Amino acid sequence: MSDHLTPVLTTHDLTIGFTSKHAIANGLNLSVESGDLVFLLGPNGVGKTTLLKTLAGLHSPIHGRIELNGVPLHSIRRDTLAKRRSIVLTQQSAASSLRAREIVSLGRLPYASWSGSMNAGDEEIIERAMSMTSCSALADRLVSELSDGERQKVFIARAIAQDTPIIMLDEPTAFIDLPRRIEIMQLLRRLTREFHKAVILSTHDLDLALMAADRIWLLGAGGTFATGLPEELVLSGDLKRSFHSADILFDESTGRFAWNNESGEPIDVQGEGLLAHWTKRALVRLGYRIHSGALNKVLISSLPLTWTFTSANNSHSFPSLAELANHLRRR
Amino acid sequence: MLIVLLGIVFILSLGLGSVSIPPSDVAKILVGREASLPMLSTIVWDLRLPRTLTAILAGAALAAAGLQMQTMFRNPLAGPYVLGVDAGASLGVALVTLGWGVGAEGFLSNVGLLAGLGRLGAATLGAGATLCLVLAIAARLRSDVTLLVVGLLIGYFASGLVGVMVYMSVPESIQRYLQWTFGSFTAATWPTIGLLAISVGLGCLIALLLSKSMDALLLGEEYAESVGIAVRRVRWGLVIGSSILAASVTAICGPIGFIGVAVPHLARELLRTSQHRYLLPSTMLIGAIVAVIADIIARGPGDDVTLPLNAITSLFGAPLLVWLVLRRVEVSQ
Repeated sequence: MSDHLTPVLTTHDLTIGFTSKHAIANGLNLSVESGDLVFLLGPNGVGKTTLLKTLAGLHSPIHGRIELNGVPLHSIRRDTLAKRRSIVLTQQSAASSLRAREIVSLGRLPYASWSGSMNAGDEEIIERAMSMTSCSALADRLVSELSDGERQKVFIARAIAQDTPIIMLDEPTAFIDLPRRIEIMQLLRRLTREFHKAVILSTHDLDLALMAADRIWLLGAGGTFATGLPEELVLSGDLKRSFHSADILFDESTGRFAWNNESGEPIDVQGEGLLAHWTKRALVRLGYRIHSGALNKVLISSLPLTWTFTSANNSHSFPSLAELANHLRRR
Repeated sequence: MLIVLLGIVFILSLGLGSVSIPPSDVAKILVGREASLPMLSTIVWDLRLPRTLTAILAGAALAAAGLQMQTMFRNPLAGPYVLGVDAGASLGVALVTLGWGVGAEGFLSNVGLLAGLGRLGAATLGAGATLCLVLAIAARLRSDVTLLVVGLLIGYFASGLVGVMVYMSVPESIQRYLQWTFGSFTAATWPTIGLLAISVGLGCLIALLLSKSMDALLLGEEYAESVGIAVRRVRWGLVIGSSILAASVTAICGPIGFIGVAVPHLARELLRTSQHRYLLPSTMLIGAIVAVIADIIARGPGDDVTLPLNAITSLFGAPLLVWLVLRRVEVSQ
């Protein structure tokens, strides 16, 4: 087990970006261990992709060192590097004539002969990668016929087939519906837990990061950087700071962003259980601020199910949440 | 199977024409025995064999070059001429054939030197010069798409120059120039076939050595880099290799359209694979077969009268491409 805790990737005083005048972030000292699921988190356009590509050796750093297992990245031969780290990119520019299975099998290219031919062992690994990502059924489909989610899974299968200790994914959950996102997270988690891969993925999906990350790298606008457990970053206020703006409120107890309703009209909800919870959610959505003891009140009574809204000068009852909402929007 | 088919069209091509020679006689002549008529031997050895061999080499070369460009640009409509090699060759030939017309005005008096080289030399020089220009520009570019645009623009520029020269020329020399642009496999003599074979062999060897890298390039440049392919070096190989193929064919046969674009699609449909270690040899074989068939059709009237080869390849190639494109659209919906 001990070798799972040695860092597979470290950086020392790393500066990334395109030109030294316009560095995206500097002084980065990062470390990833086997079995780590690391989330690179940050608002759009802050340089997450550049950081990932730099760590993958596809983009030159401006300054500093990157090491894989203690060996400087730039001194590793291209074909050796291909057996150490694999990537899944956001932009897919694959030729439309490719079939899903061919894409996955291209992950075995670093192990293939000069002509690109593969042996039975390679074929087995390809099949296994496809069944792990549950895309075996897509094998003969053209890449142009796949949905965004299916394509993403095929490219993740390709990275798995490359069989590298480090897998890097740039926004793997973009364009994908929520259930599929969770499926992908479970898959990545399994790669870290069962196969002791180090997985680094960039996302701006805070929910998923708080749910699944072993460690978060938080890249903020202006090159600020923080790292820690997801919970630590909530408690330290780093998450709040890097995403905060006047209209958005980071709720530190739920780990969610909400509309800033601080200036909303206060309202009190009296009721129980899920009914009360979702009535409150509806009111917040309508711009109210939940505040017990407020002058405006919504009373939920069962038998028959009724929402009664009481304000300073009148009171109305509604048989459905929709009618309550309708009334409140017209006040 | 493709090799058998190539064998069949090869024998057919040697037998068909204004004088029909039965396959049994063709076989006899090829192995050096006497045919029923001595004249037939002359027709095969001096006319039809050079022509057929040229078609085989040219077809294989154009198809291989087309496949390389389609893979490099990940664009199904790319072909051997996307980098402007044909335009360069046309410019060279135009300078020689049309140069006479303007040379008298002193406008292009130094063209006389070029004219001495003949059409073949001029086309080679033109294609080679374009190749060097494209390479010089490619060295400064990181993106394949930019290279594609540059190739197109070089092509337009050369066509513009040719247009000016055509406008200022006399009808006779325009006729000579047009003759070349029609494309033909008849111009080749045994020594030029030898040269063509060497350069086509070299170009195809480069392509075969790059088949694994071409597989990777189908994913895109960054993915290719990530699986250990030296993308920049491979791009040089592809540009040089395909340009050698396209330039040598164009110099000898004129700019021949559609074979280079359509044949790789045929090969993909037939093999249902994108792996270049299978795709490339098949593409070359199909290219050779298609070129020989096109030449058989072109000589319909007889050995001495030949329809423009480009007209044949376009008449058959364009509907084929339309069908392939429509099929792809239907499949993806």
